[in-house]
Amino acid sequence: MLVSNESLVDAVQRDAELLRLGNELRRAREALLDAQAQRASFELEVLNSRDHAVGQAAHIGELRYRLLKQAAGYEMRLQQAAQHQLIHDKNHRDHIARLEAALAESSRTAAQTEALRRELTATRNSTTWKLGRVLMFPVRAVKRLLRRG
Amino acid sequence: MPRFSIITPVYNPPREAFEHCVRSVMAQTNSDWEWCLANDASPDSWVAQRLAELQTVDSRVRVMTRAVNGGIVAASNDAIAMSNGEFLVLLDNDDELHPEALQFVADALAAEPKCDYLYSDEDKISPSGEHFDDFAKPAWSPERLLAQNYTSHLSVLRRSIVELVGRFRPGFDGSQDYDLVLRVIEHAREVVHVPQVLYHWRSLSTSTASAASAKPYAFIAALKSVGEHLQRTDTVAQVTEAGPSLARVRRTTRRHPAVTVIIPVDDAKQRIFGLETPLAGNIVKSLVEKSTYTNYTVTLVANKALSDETLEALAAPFEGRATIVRARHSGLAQMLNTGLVACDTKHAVLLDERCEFIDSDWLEALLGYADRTNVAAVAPFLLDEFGMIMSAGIGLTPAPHDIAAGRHLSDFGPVGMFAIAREVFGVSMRCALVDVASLKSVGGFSPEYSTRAMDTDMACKLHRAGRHAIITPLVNVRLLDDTSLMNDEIDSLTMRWGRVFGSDPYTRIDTRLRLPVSF
Repeated sequence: MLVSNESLVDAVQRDAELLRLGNELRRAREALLDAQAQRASFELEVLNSRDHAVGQAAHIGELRYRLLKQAAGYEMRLQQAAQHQLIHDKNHRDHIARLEAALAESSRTAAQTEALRRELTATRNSTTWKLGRVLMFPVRAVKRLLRRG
Repeated sequence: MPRFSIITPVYNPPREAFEHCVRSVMAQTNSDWEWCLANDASPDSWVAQRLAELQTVDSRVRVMTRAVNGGIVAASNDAIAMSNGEFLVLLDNDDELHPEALQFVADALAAEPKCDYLYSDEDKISPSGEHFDDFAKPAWSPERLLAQNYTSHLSVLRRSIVELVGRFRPGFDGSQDYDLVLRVIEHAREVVHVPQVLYHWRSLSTSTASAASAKPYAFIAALKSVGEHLQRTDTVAQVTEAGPSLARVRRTTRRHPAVTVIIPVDDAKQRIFGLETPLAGNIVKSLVEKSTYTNYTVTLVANKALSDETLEALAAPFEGRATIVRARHSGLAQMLNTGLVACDTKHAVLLDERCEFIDSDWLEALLGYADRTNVAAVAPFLLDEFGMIMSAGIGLTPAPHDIAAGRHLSDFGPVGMFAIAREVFGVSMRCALVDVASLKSVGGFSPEYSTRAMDTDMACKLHRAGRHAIITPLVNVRLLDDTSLMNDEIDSLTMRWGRVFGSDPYTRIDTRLRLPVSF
């Protein structure tokens, strides 16, 4: 069977074209797969970024909560301390008042003691006391002897 | 027009209990109320006399007397017919209100003006007058309400909506309140929970407060109410008994949406029931053999080259429905994130390779909850090899923990909460149906965590975004892993979410300051 040169050239050209198109299709498929992989990779990154954002927001929320809780705790402790300070001050003032009262009482007692001591000295220095001692001397001497005997 | 109309049907109450009830109403610190009492032809003569006396003593008391006994529904409707208040407060004739009940309700309504239905915590009063059995109720949980009438007392309903839905319905005696609430919430703009004990439910030998089985007819009516509510809300579902006063709702999905099952895999092997088993092959086998739902594709995520043996075990059973994706970053969180990125369906199942399915309709059952409002994740109970619960959700009170861990599957738990589907703060993502967009919107799983701490972190992120999770006992999944689901990264978690620990809205431990209950 005779084949013309023209049809042979056509057939070769057609095969070459088919081969070229096949290669192009393969490359396009590979590019598509690459693009899909890249898209998946980007999507994963988006997911991770979103998680990171949500996580950070949650973390900030947690920190804010802890801060507020701690601040509330400190505020409460401050109020308690102020309350304790008030009570302590009052107790302290009460204690000082009690000490001052005791001191005044003590001074008054000391003055009374001094007055009594002066009264006693005056009594002992009086003529009556001295006369009495002279008169009572024999009685005291007898008592002394009896104690020795 | 008073703000509150207290609605009380009266039929031969124990006299002493009724007097306590009267005192509790009269002692209200908020005075903006009227009390509508309907005497349902009580045979005891003192009832009519006492009601007449009350009416003369206080002009806010309004009494009507029925000529013939009509039952609780008819009497309650008569009391409503008399009322003028903006809100109806339901009170039984032998129960008591806390003295500040109406004030707490008024405060809550002021904070949420769109509220159409409000409920509070409650306790019970023993025949000897002791308060017991505090019920610290969860935040608004519509899924749980389908399984049990957990809102019960105190219930406050906007009168206009009660009128819209046609008041109490005959044929639901014993569960008439539940039926009314189910109809009201279909129209309610907002539902509010007041976490305070505002209602004291007297436990008499015949009342439902003393035993769930005291009024079996009431439970039958309750199941009917739930069934009709589901019909009205265009939900195809089967309602059956799950336990004493507990209903089980199994929804049937009309649509069969495509679902992507995301499984992070590696070449690991583990002794399962005494046999050294490749985990990846095991989960694939379980998935293929057990699932009756067919509209799913599988995305297997590996962060290293898999052995030929594993690849063969993974790819063969799916007949072209499986894709293997290579994660560029190490760590479970990034593997799951890679799976989420590759996912092109609305819903995905996140699956640990250490799981094994027990129920064949697991995916249908989980999908039944997927379209509930604001639900980001639905999960099954995770069981160990011996049938003990490993996780029935993640709770936050007092600290992050797996709910019901170590309990037997037959254990109903406090107030039956382990036997029913309900809203929870979070779920273990070892097996969970998730709303992909919700997870992506909060940034997926955090690569900052290398252990299951990421589940708790995810729950906190979703909760912050206004999403919650549902746990269902309709599906049980075996988890072949004896390591704790909770984590040793608690310090790291605390740095993000420490402030919310201890304040789980769905699993509360009663740490409230107990309000004084004497009048």
